[in-house]
Amino acid sequence: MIGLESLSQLTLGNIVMIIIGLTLVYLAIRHKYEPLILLPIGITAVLVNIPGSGLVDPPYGFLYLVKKYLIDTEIVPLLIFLGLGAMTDFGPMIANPKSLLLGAAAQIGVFVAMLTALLLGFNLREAASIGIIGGADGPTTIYLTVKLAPHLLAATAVAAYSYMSLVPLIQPPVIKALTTKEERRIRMKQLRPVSKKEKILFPIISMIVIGLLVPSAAPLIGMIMIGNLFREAGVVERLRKAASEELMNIVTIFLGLGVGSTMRAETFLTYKTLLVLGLGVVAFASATAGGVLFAKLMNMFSKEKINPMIGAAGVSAVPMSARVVQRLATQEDPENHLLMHAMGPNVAGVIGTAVVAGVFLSMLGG
Amino acid sequence: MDATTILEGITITLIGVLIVFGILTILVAILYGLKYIYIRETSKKEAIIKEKEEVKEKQARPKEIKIMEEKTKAQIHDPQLISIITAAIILFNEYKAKKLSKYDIFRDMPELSRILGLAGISFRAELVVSLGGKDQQVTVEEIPGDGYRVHIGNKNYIAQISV
Repeated sequence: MIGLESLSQLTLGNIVMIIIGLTLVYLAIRHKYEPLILLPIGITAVLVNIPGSGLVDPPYGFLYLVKKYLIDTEIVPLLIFLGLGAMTDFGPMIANPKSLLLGAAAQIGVFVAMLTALLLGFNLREAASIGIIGGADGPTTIYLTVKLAPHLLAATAVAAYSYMSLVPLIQPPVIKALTTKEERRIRMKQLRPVSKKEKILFPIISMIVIGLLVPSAAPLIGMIMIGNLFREAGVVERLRKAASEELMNIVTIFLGLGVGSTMRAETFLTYKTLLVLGLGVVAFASATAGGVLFAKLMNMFSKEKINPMIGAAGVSAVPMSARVVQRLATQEDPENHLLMHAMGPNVAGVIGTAVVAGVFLSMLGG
Repeated sequence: MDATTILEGITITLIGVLIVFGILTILVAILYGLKYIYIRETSKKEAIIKEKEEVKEKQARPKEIKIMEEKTKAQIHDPQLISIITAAIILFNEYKAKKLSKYDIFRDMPELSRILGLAGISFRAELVVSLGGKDQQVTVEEIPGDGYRVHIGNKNYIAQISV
């Protein structure tokens, strides 16, 4: 196909998708909105909407192969989890175990979004894939959507990553609406140091416990914990570096290409996509609310008060939501440093979301 | 919108919330267990460090010197006399160290010089201590295992050192 022939096949849908793709590229470059993932997704979306390229055509189109063998097989999301594990410090969470409960509470947003999606007419598998956006965890969203509702992959992935970068805009109003000035000024005592032994034991124990109780969450939890063990063991520095840098960069490229390749006009430009994007905001906001309200509930029974804002960091979005909490805390009291306290629920949220994904898979079938 | 689907969604929600909280609560319990191990280990380490510090402190504690007149056994309180005797003992030890430093074995292990007393070898030195512009003739002699005998004027004083 050459020149005018290709141009004649260009539909209005293709043009809209090219504009959407370019918008993502613009947001990634100009505003640095999750550029590592939105830039490849955006530019790939532009590419696949140019008619006649054959890139997404079976059986040998390059992007078709990337999606079929790396995304549909779950290889890429799982390898991203391996890299995330190698980059994650569970120290703040180990130092303050209660923060795990805040990570669990924020998952309420996933279920709220799921129920809202059901009310809007999505089926259960679609609703679960939409709800998981509330976990603010891109790879988990992709992992679950590929298994439960692959036709929504582009919408859920774009929503998850876009809203992750919009956390500084979505979370503050919710946090402020649910907390008083006094609550936002609560100071927390410094976290205790965590020993190397604890940091090594945590990934091993949690992998075994979660693997045994929710086997369908084992792939995600297993990968993150293996990566984390690489980091904490201190004896496989090369593997840690490879997982968190080289491998992570490579799989991020493939993830971007794979997800971007699904953003074709005929599959993306539906009213369902708009609903998914709208529900993404509901998911993020209700997850934030869940974490904050649970932190307030914990304060009713605890002698040592926690700043309820750290509950908002229970939506994974590491470390964006923890930074939001820190910013809000210093706005109220410049001497109040909550970043490390917020990192606890933040990394706990990753585990919580993976467990929820496992629950969905086991109940709805993968 | 189908009522059965909604009901199923609510069931999944309830079970899901229960499982997430259940599993993370188990992890919380495990983490508290790890914290307990950490605290026990650090308190053990701290106890060892504290013990070592105490021993060090004990070793570093200055030796007490009791000075008395040999005949009457009366303790001396005159600060000038105490100063002269203390200075004399310091000078004496310097003199002794200088003598012993000729022999490598004593230079490397000065404590070894203590056994000289057991062998009946004790040092004696006649010194001049200058205090406040006034010279004082002093004789210092070791009493093996019991300190020093300091002779000033026509009196003998015993300086006992307790460790």
